[in-house]
Amino acid sequence: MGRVIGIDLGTTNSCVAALEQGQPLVIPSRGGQKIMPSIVAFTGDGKRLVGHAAKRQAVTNSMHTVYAAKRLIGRKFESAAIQRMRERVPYPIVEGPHDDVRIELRGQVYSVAEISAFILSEMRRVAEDHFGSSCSEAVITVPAYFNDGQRQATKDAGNIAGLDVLRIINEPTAAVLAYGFGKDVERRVAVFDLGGGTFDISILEIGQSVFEVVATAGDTFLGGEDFDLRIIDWLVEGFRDEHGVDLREEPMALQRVKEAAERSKCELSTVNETEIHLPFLLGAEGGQALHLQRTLARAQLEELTADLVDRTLEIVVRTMDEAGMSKDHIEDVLLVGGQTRMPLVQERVADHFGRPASKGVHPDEAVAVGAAIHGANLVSQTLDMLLLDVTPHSLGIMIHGGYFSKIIPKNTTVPTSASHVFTTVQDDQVQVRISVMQGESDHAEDNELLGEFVLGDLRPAPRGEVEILVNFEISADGIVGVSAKDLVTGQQQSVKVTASSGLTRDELEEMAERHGGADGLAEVENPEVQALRNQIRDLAQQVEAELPRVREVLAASALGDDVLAKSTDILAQAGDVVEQGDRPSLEETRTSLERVRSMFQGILARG
Amino acid sequence: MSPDDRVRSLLEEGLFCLGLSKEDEALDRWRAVLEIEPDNGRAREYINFVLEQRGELVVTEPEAAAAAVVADTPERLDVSSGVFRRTESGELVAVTAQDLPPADGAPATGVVEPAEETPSGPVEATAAEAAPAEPVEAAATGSASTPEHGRISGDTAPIFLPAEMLEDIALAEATVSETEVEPTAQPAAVAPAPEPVEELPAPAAPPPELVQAPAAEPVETLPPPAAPAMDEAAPEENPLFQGALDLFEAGEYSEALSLIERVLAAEPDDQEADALRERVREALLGQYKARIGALSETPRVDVPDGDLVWLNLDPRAAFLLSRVDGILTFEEIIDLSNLDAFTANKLLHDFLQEGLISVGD
Repeated sequence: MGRVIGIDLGTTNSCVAALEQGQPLVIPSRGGQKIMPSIVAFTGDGKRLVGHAAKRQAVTNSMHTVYAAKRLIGRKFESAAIQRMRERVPYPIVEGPHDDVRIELRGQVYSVAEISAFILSEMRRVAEDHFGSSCSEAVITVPAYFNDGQRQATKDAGNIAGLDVLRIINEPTAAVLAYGFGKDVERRVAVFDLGGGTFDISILEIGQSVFEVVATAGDTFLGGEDFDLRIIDWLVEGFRDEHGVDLREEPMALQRVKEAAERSKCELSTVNETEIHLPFLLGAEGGQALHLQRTLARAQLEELTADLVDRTLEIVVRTMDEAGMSKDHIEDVLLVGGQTRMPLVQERVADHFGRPASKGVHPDEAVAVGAAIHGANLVSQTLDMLLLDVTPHSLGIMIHGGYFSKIIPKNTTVPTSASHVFTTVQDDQVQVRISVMQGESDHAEDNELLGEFVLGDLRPAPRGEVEILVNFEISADGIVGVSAKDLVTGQQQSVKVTASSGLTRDELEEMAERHGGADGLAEVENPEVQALRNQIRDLAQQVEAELPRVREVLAASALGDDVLAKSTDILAQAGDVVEQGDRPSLEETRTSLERVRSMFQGILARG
Repeated sequence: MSPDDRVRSLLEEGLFCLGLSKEDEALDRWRAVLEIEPDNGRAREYINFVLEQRGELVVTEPEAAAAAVVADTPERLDVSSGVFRRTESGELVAVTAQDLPPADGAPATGVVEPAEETPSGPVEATAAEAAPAEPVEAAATGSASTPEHGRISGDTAPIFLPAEMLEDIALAEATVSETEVEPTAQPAAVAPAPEPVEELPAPAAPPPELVQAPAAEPVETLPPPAAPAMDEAAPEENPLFQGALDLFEAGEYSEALSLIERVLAAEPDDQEADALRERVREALLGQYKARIGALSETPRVDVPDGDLVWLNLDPRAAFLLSRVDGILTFEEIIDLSNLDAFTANKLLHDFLQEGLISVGD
């Protein structure tokens, strides 16, 4: 079994890590970057851009640039989250054939899993470039609140990218794994994860090498980009006041402003004041160019974004209340996500928890490192770890009046089971429909439907007299089983809710094949395949060199033209395959050439 | 440097200057050519073109026109008509009223070069349409092959006809059109110059339109000229087009592009000019790519941020320069620039040339 890579597939940025000689290593890209924007774009001539290059044209090519695909993955098209996203992003989100979400780019429709697969492929390539060998096994992280469908879709994305996804683990769990790596810690920690696009707060308990998420919550529309937007607004409005021009109508200018805003925000984490200088931002009448020049102070940035920081802490308070914990229960606080570098965030978190945050993990890298640690443990079993997760959402059924009855509350450690007795609502009611749902709203329609079944053959009786026991079970693998039983007759029905990403098996296979092939052409080649090509070239050269002598020998033998014709055919085929062939055809050609070479050697030895 | 080399150099320099919109400097170069070769046709065409563009060439005032053409060499020319012809010895002289064909004569074709050799026998003629302001181009009588329109050779002088003369020609042409004519028995003697003689319109006139008839075949009637033929011929009549072509053939692609852009600015639908522009751009793109080198290289900016404001950048160039971050490769920068490949490559080439960016350690 080869090396397992850990991938933090983030909403805004992604990161890949692995264990190198027992130590975690965050793998830099060719440009030295350890994090890569989770952005995919298609240029006018259909070229695919991923990561940094895609980010640097995101505004000028906004209709064909997908960002924050993670907010879409594994969701139903009709869901509130998707409808909200449709209003917020410039790229076209369309409905897929299975009520899933698709994205249309340059006339081509992609599933969200495919888009995520492009990012994962790039991560894989970065790792393979670094190690010079294939990296086909991975552990990928997801937010703790991801439901089964979202997890499955993430796994599908990994498969499309040609990865064998050994495990999907929760991001806060991964961060805590990185925090606890090589230490014998037993404590309760809060993971405050403020990334580029989302905010998550999780409380975990570490004890006896057991990592348990005891509570988790967040806001999928709150992150570092919201902080950037405040600076962008400030710059754009200032420019409009000064020059009477709206930069939002100028994509090239706005792209530069957006980048400058992010850069200045980062700088203000270490300095008190920064200059924002964008020369020749716009052309004006008379050929005069307009420049943007502003000074932004840290205090001003804090003023612009104070309410965003407040929102994160409100979620922290609510989550801890729901988990029945106070700040005194928290023994350490981990800051994860680039936005936690902001001094104001650090101060407010420290104030809230009454202690400074741990410096033990790198905010950008901790999650990927934790995934790599877990991956290494899966293949080598050298680390004694047990990850225990909780249900991120409450599970229950829809009851009369369209209400939602919770049977397993959120943050329940899995595996678990729970039961509840319901009654009929009509006289002589002979069947009931059990709609299995997850979510937190009292109104069923606001929650997500996981599956349905009908329990029939109930005995006719006045309403309220027939009692039905509904039982929920969640296995360690996250599979939800629901059964309903008439307590008098013993009549029973059940359903197993298995995760679905919204893609069929055939679609997945087709996508994996399509993108696997495309990647082979468009990207840097796998070193093993490259070695294969070199072997074929060497073999072909040897065979060609021996061909004249073999021809001489065969001219006087009974083997004759057939052998020579076959050999030259294989040589010609090798010429084509070595340039364009995929791995199977390369391997086949190598075998053929080896046979020809052996045959030639035999002929020459006899001749 | 030999006089020939000097002339060629001055002609090209003038075109460079024109490409940079330094018209006075261009005129200086071409007038210097006329100092060396007073009958240099190209220099005259270029000068006339510029003067015409500037509205300084008044063709109805022959003296003024001629004087403008050879402002610093008036003593060499008889400027009485404003129309020039070359003598047998190759000298350029002004065409006088006596040199002009009679209004009712068969040879009234607009071909007036050389005047003394105007054929007296049957001729094949072409003529302009009735509107006197429109230019007329005629094929040389009896020429064995149809000359290529608008390809102004170095020894062909342009001829400007006053409006009243064009009226005469129109009259003559009307006569000819009703007359069956025979090919001349001595075409070479009658019309030694196979090149067409071009007439440029007056400054305020509409774009030139040309009429051409087969040179060696009798003409029974002269139908109205077909529009496509005129359209095809039109760009070639433009000295700028020829200049651009000359520069392109000389490998001076930037200057050629500059000139051809000017041609297209005036005639956006000119297909031939458009085709030339594509060829020039292709050649230039090759040069840019060669200068940029491997697209997998990662450029970086060599100018401090604060100094960028001293550059004179167009916002698009500034945008592209801001993509150079030491992480993206040339290929990625071009891909994400949202600019067409030519523009993106040109800008990167220019940045390298000007030392704004570099690659390597």
